[in-house]
Amino acid sequence: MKNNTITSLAKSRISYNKSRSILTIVAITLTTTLLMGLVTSAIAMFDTNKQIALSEGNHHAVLRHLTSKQLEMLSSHLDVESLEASLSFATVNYDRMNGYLSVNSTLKEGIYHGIGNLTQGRFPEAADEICGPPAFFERMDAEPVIGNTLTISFRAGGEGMIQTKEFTICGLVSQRDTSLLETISDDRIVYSAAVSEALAKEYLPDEKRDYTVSLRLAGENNYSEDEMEEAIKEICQDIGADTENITYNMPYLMAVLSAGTEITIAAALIGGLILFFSCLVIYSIYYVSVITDVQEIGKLKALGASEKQVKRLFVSESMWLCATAIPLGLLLGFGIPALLYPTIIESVSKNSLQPVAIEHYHMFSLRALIGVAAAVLTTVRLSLLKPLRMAGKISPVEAIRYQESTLGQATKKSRLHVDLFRLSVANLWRNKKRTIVTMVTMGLSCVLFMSFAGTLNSMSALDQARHTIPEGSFNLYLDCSWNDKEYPESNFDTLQTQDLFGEELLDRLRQTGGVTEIKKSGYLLFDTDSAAPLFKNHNKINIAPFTREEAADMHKDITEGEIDYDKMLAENGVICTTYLDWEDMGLSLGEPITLNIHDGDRIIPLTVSVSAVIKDSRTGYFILPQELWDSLDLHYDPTNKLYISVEEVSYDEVKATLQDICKESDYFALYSLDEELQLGQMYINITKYPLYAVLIMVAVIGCINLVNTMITSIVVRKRELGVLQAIGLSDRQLKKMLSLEGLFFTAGTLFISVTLGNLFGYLIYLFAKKNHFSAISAYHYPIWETIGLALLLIVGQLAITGIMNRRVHKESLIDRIRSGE
Amino acid sequence: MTPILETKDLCKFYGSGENLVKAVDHINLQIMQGEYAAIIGKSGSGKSTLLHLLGGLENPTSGEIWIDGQNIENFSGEDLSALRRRKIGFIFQAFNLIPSLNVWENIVLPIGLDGRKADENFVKDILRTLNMEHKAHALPNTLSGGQQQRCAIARAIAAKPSIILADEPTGNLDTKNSDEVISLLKLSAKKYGQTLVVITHNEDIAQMADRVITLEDGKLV
Repeated sequence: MKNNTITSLAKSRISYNKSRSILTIVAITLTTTLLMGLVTSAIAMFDTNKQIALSEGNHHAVLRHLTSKQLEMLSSHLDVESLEASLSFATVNYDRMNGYLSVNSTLKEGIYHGIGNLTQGRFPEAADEICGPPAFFERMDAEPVIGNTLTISFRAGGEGMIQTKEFTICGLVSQRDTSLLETISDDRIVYSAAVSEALAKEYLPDEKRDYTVSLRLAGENNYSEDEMEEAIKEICQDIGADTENITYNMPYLMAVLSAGTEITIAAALIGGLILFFSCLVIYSIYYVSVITDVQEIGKLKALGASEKQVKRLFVSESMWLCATAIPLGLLLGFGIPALLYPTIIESVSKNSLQPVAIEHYHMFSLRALIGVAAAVLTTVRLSLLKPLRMAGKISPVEAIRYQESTLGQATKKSRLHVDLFRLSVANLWRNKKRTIVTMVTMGLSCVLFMSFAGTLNSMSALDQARHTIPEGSFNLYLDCSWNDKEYPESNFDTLQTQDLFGEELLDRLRQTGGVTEIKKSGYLLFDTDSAAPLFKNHNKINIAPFTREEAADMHKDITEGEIDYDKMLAENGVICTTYLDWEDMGLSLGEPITLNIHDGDRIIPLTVSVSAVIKDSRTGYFILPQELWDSLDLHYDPTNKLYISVEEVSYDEVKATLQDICKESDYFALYSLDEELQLGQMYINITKYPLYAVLIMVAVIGCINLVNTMITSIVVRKRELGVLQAIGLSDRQLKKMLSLEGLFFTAGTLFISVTLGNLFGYLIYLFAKKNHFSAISAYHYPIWETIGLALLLIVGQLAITGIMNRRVHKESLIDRIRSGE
Repeated sequence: MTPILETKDLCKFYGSGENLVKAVDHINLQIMQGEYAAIIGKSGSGKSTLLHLLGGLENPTSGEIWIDGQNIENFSGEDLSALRRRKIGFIFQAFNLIPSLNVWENIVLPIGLDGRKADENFVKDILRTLNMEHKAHALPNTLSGGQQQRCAIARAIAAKPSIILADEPTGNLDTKNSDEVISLLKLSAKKYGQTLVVITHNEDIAQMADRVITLEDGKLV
């Protein structure tokens, strides 16, 4: 046989086995689409994140709590290329506004920000100049116009006497879109504006200055992500700052620097997994047509074709199919995300606090395209090895008569009677390998779906909200100080004497219909005679109780010491919950210290020793066993917040009452679940929706793949099903048998998706949590997604069986029986 | 004797116009109970089509088919399936055993499909008659052609059908196996009182029949 003979034979084989060729093309196309679609989406998501990260600011890290001296050292540090410092100068006193004045200075040029950039005028220079976002001035009921004046009352460093001063607006800076925040209580919004260093000099002495700096290291291209973090830590140590106060600009570092090892490994794992599964899909399609191929190879060999020629024929045939399927798959795989992704991102950015100003969508990569095509081609090529090897093992005549896969197994235990169920089981059992391959193939998309669903489900706005409202729907709390010397009436211990959370308030709440539970949470303030930084000048911090049950929960967070509840009871033991401050307390474990506990205007002395330090900040700096707390014999109510649960129908009514309560008092403030949820939602939308887009694509392509796999498994058994009908299998029985088989596949697929899918989902969750990825803090099992998937699989499978059953009947029984002869 | 199989003016045409193929052309035929009939004819003379029509595997273009006193014209798909399970046993040239089932399971399959329990002793008796007792647990692909066809015969007989339709049952077998298979087929048909209709090219097999039906261009000769 000459080359052109082989090519024309390959072509005629393609058109003769038309339905098989179409199925193969569809399978290869879909797999290519899935692979290309995922790669394209990944590139797009990476690029979007990069664009967002770049537009948000190019600093490498933020360091907090630096002194003037440390700032000076930092600005002369050789490795620091760009440096900006921000000094939180004063709090604004304007009804209940959450306002701040800051002093910003650029020590070394080169940092830009997404917001806060000058849009009009200039930055403040004179002591009476102010520059800020329009929202700040609007909140202060002043028109945001350059040259306009406004009077601001402020407390420098958040303490001392209230100062009042007239300012002139000298500049306006850009701000986030605040239209989305209209339904959010003003308490939850922070307003800030910049004043001049000249003003700061007047009011804030050097030793009281607490700087926050943004910095960039020189030669960013020489670092990987890990190395950059290490380098920043070193700088921090060089200037004697605490490395715990570093916040890395992760989105930027991830976008610009070569990935850290962990991320590289994770990406490689996920990519490898998808590739492996995708290849299985193609392989399984080829696998089911092995018999026909083996028989065909037998015939060709009998006619005198050499091994090499046979090989060339099959390779040529599959390459012809690939020539159609792969470009089509690449086109679809690129086209679907290219069309969908921008639409999704645009709709997301409408509901997100992050300004997603994506100028162009970059999602094409030639390398990815070639990579996907190469992976698919290689798989197709590998799938061919099997029939060639099978045919090579047996003589041409045997190959012609070859029936699939029971080679090696000669006998099988008999069942005395055979019914439909046994027939289905026998068929699945005979083709164990094929059954498993088909199931894994069908499971591919489902596993991907479940993995994503698990992660997405764990991106929960409620988890975010639960940080501020751990229980119930509202958190009514005291907005108070602890150490205000100038205005002691706002200190917690003074407020305690007013019995703000007394029966009167509780009754008022209870009378509002729909309140189901009111839970109190409280603490007490204490000071000590210690001269350690945290306790200096009788500085007060707080202490709260904890129960035996809570103690059991804390073991995992211990950084030093041990928690033995009974021992603590016996020895007046307390736990320090803020391990970052432990050093500043100047204490050692077990060392006795006398606390002056403030119960309103009373002082209760209590000598305690610290038994353990944990890294999970709770209600107090110190916590002590409930029984010890109870023995303090308090005269005043230590409550500082109420967690209020309500019936859903009464939510709005209760909220209105609580808002009234807040308005009536200077000290009450409120967190409501609806607002916290909304804020949480805005925060996670930006990552959640693109992931949903990928998820939906996986599901759609996966569904088509699943249909394809099932159709293939029926089409290749056309003859066998025909024979069964000839010997008396009725239409109803055929349908039932196919459904039984299908349900078996469905069950297997579900099993694989639920086990593997959830496992991967959980691993991704752990990874995401560790890397503080988009609000993931607790794992939520994707129960609804699982139920949805199960329903979809069952209904889809039954529908396909029905359709296929009808399609099979289009061909006459005789033709079907003869199809393999 | 009553006819167990009867056709009245039976036609099966394929295509239309110039491409019209009259595979079965106005055939009137009666086959009596217990009779052994051989259908012979050249390739394309309509033998297989006639056999498929007689077994209800294909619908006629016109005419009637009576099986055991019933006109199958108005039978539903379900009725036809039941008829095939209970009254007819098929034997194909290509054996067509179900590869996932062993010999025994292949044999009892039509009975199981009918929702009945196989008569164990009867099946064992058939296996003994066909000399296949020792192969009851073997899977089809481990059997020789002759053994596979004997298994197919056992499958056709096991449901105790009144009619056995065999489409060139020895077509894929060598002479020795052919003789053996046809003798066994005849023997069992006689033993169990069944009507046997066999399509064959083999003169010797035709000679053994009670009656030889010759077809030419879809017509009885």
